[in-house]
Amino acid sequence: MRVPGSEFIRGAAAVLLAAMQIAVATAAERGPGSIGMEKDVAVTLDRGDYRPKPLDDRTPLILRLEDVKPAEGGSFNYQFHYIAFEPGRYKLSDYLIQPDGSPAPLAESASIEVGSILVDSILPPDFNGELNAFGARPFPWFGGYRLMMGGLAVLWLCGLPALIWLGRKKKVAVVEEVVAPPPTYAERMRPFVEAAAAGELTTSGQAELERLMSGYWREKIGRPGQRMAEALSALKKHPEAGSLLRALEHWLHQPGGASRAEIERLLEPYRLPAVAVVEQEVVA
Amino acid sequence: MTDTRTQFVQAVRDRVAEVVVGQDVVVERMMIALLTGGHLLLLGVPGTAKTLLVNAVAKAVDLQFSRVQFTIDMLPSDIIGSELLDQATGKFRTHQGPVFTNLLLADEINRAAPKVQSALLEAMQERKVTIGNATYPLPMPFLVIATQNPIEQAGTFELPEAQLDRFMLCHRISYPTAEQEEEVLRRQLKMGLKRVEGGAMPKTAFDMIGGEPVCKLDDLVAAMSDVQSVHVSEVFMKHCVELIRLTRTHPAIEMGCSPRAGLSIVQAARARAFVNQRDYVVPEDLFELAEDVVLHRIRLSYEALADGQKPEKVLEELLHQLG
Repeated sequence: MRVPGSEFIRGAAAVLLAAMQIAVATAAERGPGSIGMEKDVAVTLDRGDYRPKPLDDRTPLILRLEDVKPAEGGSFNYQFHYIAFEPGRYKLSDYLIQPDGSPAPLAESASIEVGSILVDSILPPDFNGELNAFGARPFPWFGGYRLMMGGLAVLWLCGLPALIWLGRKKKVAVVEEVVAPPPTYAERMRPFVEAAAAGELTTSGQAELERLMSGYWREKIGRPGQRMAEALSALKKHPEAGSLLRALEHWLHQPGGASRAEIERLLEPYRLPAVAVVEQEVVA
Repeated sequence: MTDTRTQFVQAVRDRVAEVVVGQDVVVERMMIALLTGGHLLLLGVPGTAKTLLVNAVAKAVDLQFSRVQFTIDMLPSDIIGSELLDQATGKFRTHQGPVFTNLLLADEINRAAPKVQSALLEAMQERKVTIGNATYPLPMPFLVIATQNPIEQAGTFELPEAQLDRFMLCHRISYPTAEQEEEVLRRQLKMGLKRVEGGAMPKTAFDMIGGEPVCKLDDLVAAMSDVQSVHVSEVFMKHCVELIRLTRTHPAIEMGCSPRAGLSIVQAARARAFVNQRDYVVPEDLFELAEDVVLHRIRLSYEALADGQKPEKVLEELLHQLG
């Protein structure tokens, strides 16, 4: 719902607000500046040839000379533009120089005052802008920071050679271990042969004896890498091994088996000390 | 072992040799499968006469023979049969599938989906088939000879170990020797043309299979009976058990042989002894058959495979430990 005359009231309020802002801005330009805020200031000096002093990046105030105009009485109006990073009073003599580079001989009163943006009432009167108090303390260990860093550097430099020395290949003392050779087929067969000769060989023993006999002859006359089936077939064609394996098959696998005399005859060459003789014959 | 009994084996071998050059070991393995009723899986690259061999043996022995080419879109009913609605009578009648035979050639068994393989392998194990609500026994003898191409794996379903275990033997067919290949070419040159109703086609080895069977079912049954009387010594059984146990303890083998492997070795060794005119088994039978009985029943560990080990080498190592 629109109220008659409301637009007029709204417009008047806007004009009044704008006028108040301009008044505040003018008052702010007249008063002291604040840190971090750019500001213009006009100062009257006796000469018109002062120049800004070159500044470094650690300066608390950056001062720029905008304009110089002659004024009444032989003096000159300087228009400065500045920004300060710390609150305080800055003497212009510290920031201006004469044409020959010598400092400008200006009075103490020729200065720029920069205030804090913080509210004065909540800060102590002697607050200097430092948020945290800092006081140098001596390093608590090893007589000082530099000494400790030096010590660590020495330690690091010594550590590398130490690591190389510790990591070197140590000479292994060669100790000749006496390893007993694995028993030969002949040695493994003997107890089974003796048991068979005594008629005390179990079925497991018979199976083991047959495997050992086969292995014994395969080791003697078989070719390395030969398939087991081929090796067995080749053994059966060998005059000595073949007759032995057939006799074994007759004894262990054929129904009825072999007589005691046949078994003794079969095993005779493998009983002590005949095994050595058999080995020699095969080698020859 | 009397010669009259083993004449049966030689007659079949001679008849197969008329058609197939070489492959004596494969024929021996097929005879072992026939004589023991065990199933046989033939692994071989295409063109090594797998199908021809089975055809030739089936024709040489007077057996019912069926051949099924396995494909990916087959259904179990394509193998075992199904119930069909007879429109004339309005009643269901049972259609028995190709599994109702004495000798079934399952060509490229790994091409069928697992449910089809499973249906066949169930029939192989139980030797009976259930269609609808009725259970039908399979003819006796019943033997499956399956073939598999080991190199072509795209679009195939590898048989799992549990199903491979149902095959008594898994024989790897190798290429023929140079002389045998030359003989194959010579025979092909002599075959000539097959003329039918005015048309003609060059003959193939399949056309050379023919004539009357060299033996009847009775001869086979008698031979099977003889195989059952082949003597197996206690020592031989110790060797078999030792080999099977070694497959379970070898560090390179993740899964060793089941007790069924031991049964298969003994049965197959008996048949091999019969084929070689012996009435007792010897360790040579074990060593000759070990590869066909054991290899498809073991699985190497991941570490062993990564180390480049082959099952054949591991088995040879076990056999050397044994003998």
